[in-house]
Amino acid sequence: MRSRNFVIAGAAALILVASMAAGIVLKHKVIPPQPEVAATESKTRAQPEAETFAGKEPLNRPLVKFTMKDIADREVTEETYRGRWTMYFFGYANCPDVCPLSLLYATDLLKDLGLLADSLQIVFVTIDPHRDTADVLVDYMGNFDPRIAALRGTQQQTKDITQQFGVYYAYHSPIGTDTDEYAVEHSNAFYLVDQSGHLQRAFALKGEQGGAFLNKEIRATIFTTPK
Amino acid sequence: MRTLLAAFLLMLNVAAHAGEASKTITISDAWVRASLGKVSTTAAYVKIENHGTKEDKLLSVSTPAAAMASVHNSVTNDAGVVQMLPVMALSVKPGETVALTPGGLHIMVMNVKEPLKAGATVPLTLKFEQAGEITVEAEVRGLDGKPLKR
Ligand SMILES: [Cu+2]
Repeated sequence: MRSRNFVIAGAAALILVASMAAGIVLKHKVIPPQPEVAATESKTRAQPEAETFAGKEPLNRPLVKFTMKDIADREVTEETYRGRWTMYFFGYANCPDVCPLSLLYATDLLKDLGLLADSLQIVFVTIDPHRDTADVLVDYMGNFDPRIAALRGTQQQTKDITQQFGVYYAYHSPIGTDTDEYAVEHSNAFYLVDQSGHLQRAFALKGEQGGAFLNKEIRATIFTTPK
Repeated sequence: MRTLLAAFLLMLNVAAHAGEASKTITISDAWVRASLGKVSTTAAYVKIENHGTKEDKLLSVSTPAAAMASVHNSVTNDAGVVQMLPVMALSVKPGETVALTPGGLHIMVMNVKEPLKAGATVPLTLKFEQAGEITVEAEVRGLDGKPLKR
């Protein structure tokens, strides 16, 4: 029930964002109903996960606003990383299997890029601000490349930023006896935002390809995109 | 004296065979990811080989190092959403090797009693339908899962 409400809210936000985007581009022109948006909406209703942008590239969606905090308690907005490519991904520290792997791939990627890494900011966003306090995140991020930024916000800010990216997440009821032990299902994709703040790509890692796939995609997108 | 020795040898022989009989299932490459900071959830991975002629099933896992351990599968759908699905009975067919590896099948380890530091070992007890309980020492490793010893 909760997740359905979220999906509907997410769909509504997507439509809002999409029409706002269209409004900016088209200015005073009359906007005809957008078939792509309609398709997204119906797909979203049938299958909650379809709300993610993965597989619908290139996206070229402008980012609207988000306000979060980094682990040094500095305010971060969509403006903070302008001028560089930014790779966002979403997860939570108690995620036992998949999130540490994504962060490891991100760490390996920066190492492999060498000097090229200066052109890329990697940002990990927690979708579990309740357990991922700044304190927990500082410790957690200490296991990965220190150049990776980690953002957290209030529940509302978290909801807002995920809607900007089309990220889906839902809390599962507590597993085990401790009420603070719960899993979060979430979009496990990487989101690439260009220097001007446009969301250009979203892709998930497939099967065994792992870090090599990420590396290939990043290099292809950032370092060989014809301008 | 001679009979005593014979009896002793017979005992050894019996013991060795008993060991073999229970080894239709072998567990190798058992490791646990070191806990990350204050986070009390982590995952363990093992390789399970079935040398027997019958299917066996991994029913449950426990470890004294954590309050709870259970088998899960991380599944990412076409839209890129990842979910962890509980695996109630993990089937291992005769002659088959099932490897639990990061990003897929894993033993979720919840509420570790103390932070798990790389280099330590923790006992993992795997309970199978046929083979019964098998306890192995799992090495606590860093993020990349590379073995630290040997
Ligand atoms: Cu799990």
